[in-house]
Amino acid sequence: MSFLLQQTLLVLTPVLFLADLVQSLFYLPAADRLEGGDHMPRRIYYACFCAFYGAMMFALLAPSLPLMWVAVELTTLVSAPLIAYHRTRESLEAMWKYLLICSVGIGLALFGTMLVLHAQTTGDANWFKAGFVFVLAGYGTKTGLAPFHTWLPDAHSEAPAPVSALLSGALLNCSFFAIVRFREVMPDAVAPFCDHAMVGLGILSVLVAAVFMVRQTDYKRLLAYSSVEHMGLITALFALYHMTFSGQSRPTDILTCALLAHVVAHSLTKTLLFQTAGNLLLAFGTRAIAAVQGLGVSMKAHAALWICGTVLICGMPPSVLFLSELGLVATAPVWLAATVLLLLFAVFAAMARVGLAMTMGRPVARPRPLPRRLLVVPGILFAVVVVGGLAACGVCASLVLKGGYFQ
Amino acid sequence: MLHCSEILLALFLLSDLVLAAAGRLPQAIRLVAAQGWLLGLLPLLLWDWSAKGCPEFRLFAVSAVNAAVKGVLLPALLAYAVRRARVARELEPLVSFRVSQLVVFALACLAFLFCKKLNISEQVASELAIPVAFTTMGTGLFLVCARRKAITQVLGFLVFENGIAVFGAGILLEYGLVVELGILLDVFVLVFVLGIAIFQINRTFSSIDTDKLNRLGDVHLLHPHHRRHA
Amino acid sequence: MNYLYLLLALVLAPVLPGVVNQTKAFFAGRRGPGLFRLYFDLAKLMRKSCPRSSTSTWVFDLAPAVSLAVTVAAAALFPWTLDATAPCAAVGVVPFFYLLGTGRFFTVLGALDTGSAFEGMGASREVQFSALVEPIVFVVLGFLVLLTGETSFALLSGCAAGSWLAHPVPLALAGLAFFAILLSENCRVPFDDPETHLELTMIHEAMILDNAGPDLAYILYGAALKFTVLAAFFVALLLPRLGAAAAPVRGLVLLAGVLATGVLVGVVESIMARMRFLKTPQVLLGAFMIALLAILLFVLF
Repeated sequence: MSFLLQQTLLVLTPVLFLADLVQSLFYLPAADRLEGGDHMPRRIYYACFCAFYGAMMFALLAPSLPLMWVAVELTTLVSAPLIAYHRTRESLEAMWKYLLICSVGIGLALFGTMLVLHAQTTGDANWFKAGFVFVLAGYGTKTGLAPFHTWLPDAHSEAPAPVSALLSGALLNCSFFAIVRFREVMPDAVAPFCDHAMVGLGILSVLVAAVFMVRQTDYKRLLAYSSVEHMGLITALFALYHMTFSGQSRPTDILTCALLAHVVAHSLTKTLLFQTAGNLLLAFGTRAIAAVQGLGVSMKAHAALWICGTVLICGMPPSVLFLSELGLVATAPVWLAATVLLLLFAVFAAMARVGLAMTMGRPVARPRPLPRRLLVVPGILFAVVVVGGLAACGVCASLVLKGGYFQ
Repeated sequence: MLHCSEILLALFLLSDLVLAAAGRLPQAIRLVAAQGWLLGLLPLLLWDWSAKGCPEFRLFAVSAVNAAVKGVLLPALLAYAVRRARVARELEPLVSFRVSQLVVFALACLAFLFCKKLNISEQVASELAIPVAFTTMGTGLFLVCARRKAITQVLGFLVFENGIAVFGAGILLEYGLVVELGILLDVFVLVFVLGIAIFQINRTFSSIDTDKLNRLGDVHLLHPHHRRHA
Repeated sequence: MNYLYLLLALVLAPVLPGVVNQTKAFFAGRRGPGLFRLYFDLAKLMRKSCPRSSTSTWVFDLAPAVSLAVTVAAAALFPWTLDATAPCAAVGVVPFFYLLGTGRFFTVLGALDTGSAFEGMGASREVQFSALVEPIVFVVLGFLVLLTGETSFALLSGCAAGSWLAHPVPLALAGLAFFAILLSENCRVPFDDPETHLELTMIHEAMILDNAGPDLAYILYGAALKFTVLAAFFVALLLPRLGAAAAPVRGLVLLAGVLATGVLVGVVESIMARMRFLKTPQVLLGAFMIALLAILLFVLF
């Protein structure tokens, strides 16, 4: 599994990097023109952006566990300045919290790495357990798993849109990959412990995200909590993959596909949504949901992207997320499936409320005109998500019609 | 040699206790620098010279770089930040110095009791190393939480990092020169970036009290009478 | 032999403050008052008359002499040749510290008897500090009792065999804590400054403002003797056992150690400033925790 995930992320990360780099080229000049204010020199921004990408690839390709730690810590360090591109009080606060919380978290992960390396020499199950707990807490902080997620909404809402998109789409996956690699080296004796811990954290993340999404007033923070929710789902999916059907072949295939598809679809859709949200922020100058109404009248293209993206990220077909969430619900134990469905319903209600409120109704403010090229990258991403989703649904439907997979 | 390492670890423990009560920032920075030096010496003292002979080059290199980075470079960087920000002391910590010292002492007691229970003496280089590592990590985390000034929080993080390093030295973990240097590089870059952040926070807020950083967050959403923005 | 060295200690006691002062003078680049200054001071004071306030009672008259007497008694208990089998040494360390405490009690009583505001304040501070020091003393003693299983002076590492080899770190921590006791009990920097003559900052000195002549001489000599005795305890606590050496050699080593402690105190006073009054309890708290840590390390490892 870790190999498949690595391959997937090695393809996905460059695509996301490219999409966000191009969007940065369009977004930053517009942001400087429309927002004004003090900002970091553009060349440092691009240097950090590329270094961030390099660090993520390093994390994916790192040959050993400690080197991977070095790489993941490096991603924190080079992405932190990006969050404070606009030098406002809030962005500095977000950057400080991001650096401190993630560094402490990653420090715990280093401690966990040491415990695991030591456990590998002695073979003591308790050291493995302790090591995995620290690794899960440490890299879980970076992955945005509750209750270590507190930096995530702050950083994602304050960063410029392409950075938010890259953080959410690529970075979270990279640190999730770190957890996956550690899970793979755990011996069978501690496997149930690890899987239960991961399912617990995953479900807790979905729960926390749902609670904070229902009354959310800030659309970028809403997207950030949606990331927490999806990373929780991915973690739970991964634990289920190991837990429920470790002996059988076919349902594991379903879960493998579901997991990889979820990772890819979430990253692409979330990038699309964050980029659209960035455009809305430029047009209205505020992240308050209440101030951005009636997009259907004033900004038709953005309205379409926003409402469709919202629906897709919630897992409505033709999104691939529908299939992966279906896979999760179909293979999980009943109580787990019921909990997940209930929470997903709450998330859907929250997202639909915001999506509808922002696109329908009468505009309360006149948007500033935006250059058309800001729509290029989100548009392409949207096409990719929809076409890919339709293809995946088609494949899946044909399999179901043949009567194989879901008994 | 064994006794030397134990005395060194005891000094580490003492530095934790003193750090908990250190109100003046230069003093706290000196203490962290001293910890860096101790950390540089530790692997050499824990090495079993009589049984294994002279250690390989890697050990000396790691010791020297550790001492140089954690004992000289980072403290100098932080001292510079202190001078630029024109702050000399942590005046009103969230937890008073006396209580902090008691907390650190309690942490030490817990760590020793815990390690006594673990009964790991045959797996480690020095019996003291593991509880001292736990205490140091706990002290670092406590300082991050219990202090207002941004610089003290950075110091807390460094102490935390030192604790992890003591743990690594205590279980005689060897992951090779590249990783050791990579970890040190990360710590260095982290402090560097945090230093820049402190500089900008100081410029924007005219203060480096982190309780001024309170604008973001969603806890208010949980309040029953919360209203949406009009 | 023990009594011979006791006599030597009694005679040499005034040298110890001289050693401290000479060390400080050396660090400050001065010539200093000389090692034997206190002898001349004592001789001068003994020749003076002893004026007493009409408002003070016999308590004030007796306090200096009584306090000196109990300090001498405490000195007599100490095994000056590091021989735990000496008759007085078997009495135990607890009476030893109680006698030193009694000495302070009478000094405080005498200070209170004057009815002066300054002396009352000095007495209050002195009592406050000693109340903070007392737990440290007993934790250190408790550690030594645990370490050796003795309650007589045999618990000192200079008398007991193998303490250093078996438990070096706890013993070093206990030594550190006892050094704080030594400084605080003898009113040295950083707890109190014996040089100061500003009433508001003085602690010990503030208590004896009204004493003059032979009374003051008793007090000064008593303070020097207490310093010597505690320094000897400190040295004996840290000294490895000199098992094979003859009694005279052990006694000489101990006295040399006491003088070395004087130098150490002088160095500490030269490189440290006196602490703010409010900060002292915290440092004593730290010393207390160090002493507790010694016990912890000993019990758990």
